Amino acid sequence: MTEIPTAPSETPAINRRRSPFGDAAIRVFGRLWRRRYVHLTALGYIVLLVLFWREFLSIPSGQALSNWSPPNETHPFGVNALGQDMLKLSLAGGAKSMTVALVGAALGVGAGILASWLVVISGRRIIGFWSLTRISHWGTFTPAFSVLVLIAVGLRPGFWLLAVLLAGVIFIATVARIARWFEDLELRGDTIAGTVLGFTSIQVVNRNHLPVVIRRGIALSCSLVPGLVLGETALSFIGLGLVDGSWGKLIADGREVVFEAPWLLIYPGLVASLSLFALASLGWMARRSMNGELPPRVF
Amino acid sequence: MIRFLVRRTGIAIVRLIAMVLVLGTLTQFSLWLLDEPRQVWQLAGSFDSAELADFSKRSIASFRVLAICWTTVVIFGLMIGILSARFRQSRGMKLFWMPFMVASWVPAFWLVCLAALWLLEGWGHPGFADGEAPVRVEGLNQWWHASLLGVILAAGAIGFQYRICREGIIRRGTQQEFIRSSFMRGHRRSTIFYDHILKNSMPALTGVIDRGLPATLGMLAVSEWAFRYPGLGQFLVEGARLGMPEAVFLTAVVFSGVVILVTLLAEWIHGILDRRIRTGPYPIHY
Repeated sequence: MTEIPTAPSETPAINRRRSPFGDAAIRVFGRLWRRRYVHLTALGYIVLLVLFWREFLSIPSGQALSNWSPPNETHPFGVNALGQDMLKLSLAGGAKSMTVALVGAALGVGAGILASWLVVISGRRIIGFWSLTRISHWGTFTPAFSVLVLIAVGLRPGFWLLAVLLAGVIFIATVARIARWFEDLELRGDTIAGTVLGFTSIQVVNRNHLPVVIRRGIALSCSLVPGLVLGETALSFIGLGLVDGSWGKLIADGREVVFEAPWLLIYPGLVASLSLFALASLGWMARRSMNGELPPRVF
Repeated sequence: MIRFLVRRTGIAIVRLIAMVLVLGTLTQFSLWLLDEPRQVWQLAGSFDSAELADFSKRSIASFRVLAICWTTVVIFGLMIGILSARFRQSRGMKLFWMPFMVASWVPAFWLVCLAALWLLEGWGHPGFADGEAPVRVEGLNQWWHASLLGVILAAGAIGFQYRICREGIIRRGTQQEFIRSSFMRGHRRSTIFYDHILKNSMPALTGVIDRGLPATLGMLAVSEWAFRYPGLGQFLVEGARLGMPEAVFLTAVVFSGVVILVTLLAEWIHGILDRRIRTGPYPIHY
């Protein structure tokens, strides 16, 4: 009788399969690196800014009211009425806006992936995908900014509540797209092969679909961040978003004294515009690198 | 044809009713959070006749801005989208639409504040829209301020619209098999683009004219408040700042109505131009 060879207790390193999630992460950064290393640098800069903004940017506290001063060699963006340096204020405001937008985008896309994953796992795919698609379809003709203002009137959101509100907008805007990714992956040959080989539905979804969807989800989040930053800036501008030191608040303060001290309006807006354009080009490049689709309309 | 138009109109009415219900629920939620004893169904009692007359005046002022803005966006967005798709391989032509791409990420409310500064410093005008009017002709000053706001908003919205046209529709058309085979057979690029790709994309291009409208309406509200322009946006923002969800509700309903109306128009045009859309199960594939 022929003995069936048993697998060795330890798989040789050459045959060891990498983690699908690790593989996806390596692909993300590999593609970014190949396409535009400048964007990778910008991404690293933004991550550092977001994580350590408190340490890097010590905002000068409001001293006794003194006269503002226009831009000079010591303060290239000028000084406001409280004696605070506008350059530092603009950078710190950007870090706050970007942080809330990053958290909102990650939460929204994450919730979309979770909802679609639950639909696939539960087996009710037709009705589940249809429901998720309808949610996004109804979101396409909702004036999201007015709805956000309506909620913010009562809630007066802080950092986390604002991030959750923005995540809700992102969820509604992206969930149909994410559900479509799962639907497309269901029809691929490797999914059918996995089913024929005897893998369960959950195994196929977790090992085959999820890494691809997460990879695309990261790219989608990157492309949504600038829109969310713009939305948060607009909310802060009218006094309903982050009220202390975000870009919108700085621009609103500058608007009050625009004819007397125009630098208080010009420089925060300039920093916001340049940063938003940099973020947008990073997002578009990330989306192209991941071979994704167009970002949906948000606000 | 008539059946299609009536069906889409019915769906638009259902959408509007559903949107009013959703917005009403959110308003009631905000009133509850603010500990206000008022109810959303007692909304008619919150405004007297003078305030309602003021609201209708503000609506006309905002529609003036929107008409200027959206006409510009549709015409220039489609034109630049088509041109950028046709000359997508030309690096020099990128300089032509790059300003619109940059403008789409500049906060419009910041730009209108700069415009107020420019009006005062460069033109000797009073700056913001609520300053003393230098033009004595009735109505002309309103159109001047409306066009200023409309053009600034349009500059940003064109950046989004042309990308939607180029990326969403025309790029897909260029990747079809028969287009590639026409290219391989030696047909001229311009012939392939204008005779096939653009011709096939035109019905779908008309279906995306409403894509950027909700975002533009949001930015319109903030920009009107920034420019102190007496429109619906100022009404919305002032209402929000004073803790009056009813004012926000009323404005949000008008904005929703505008979006649903433009979406209906886009669906009608798309359906009239494309028979497959008219007879298919779902008229618009988002």
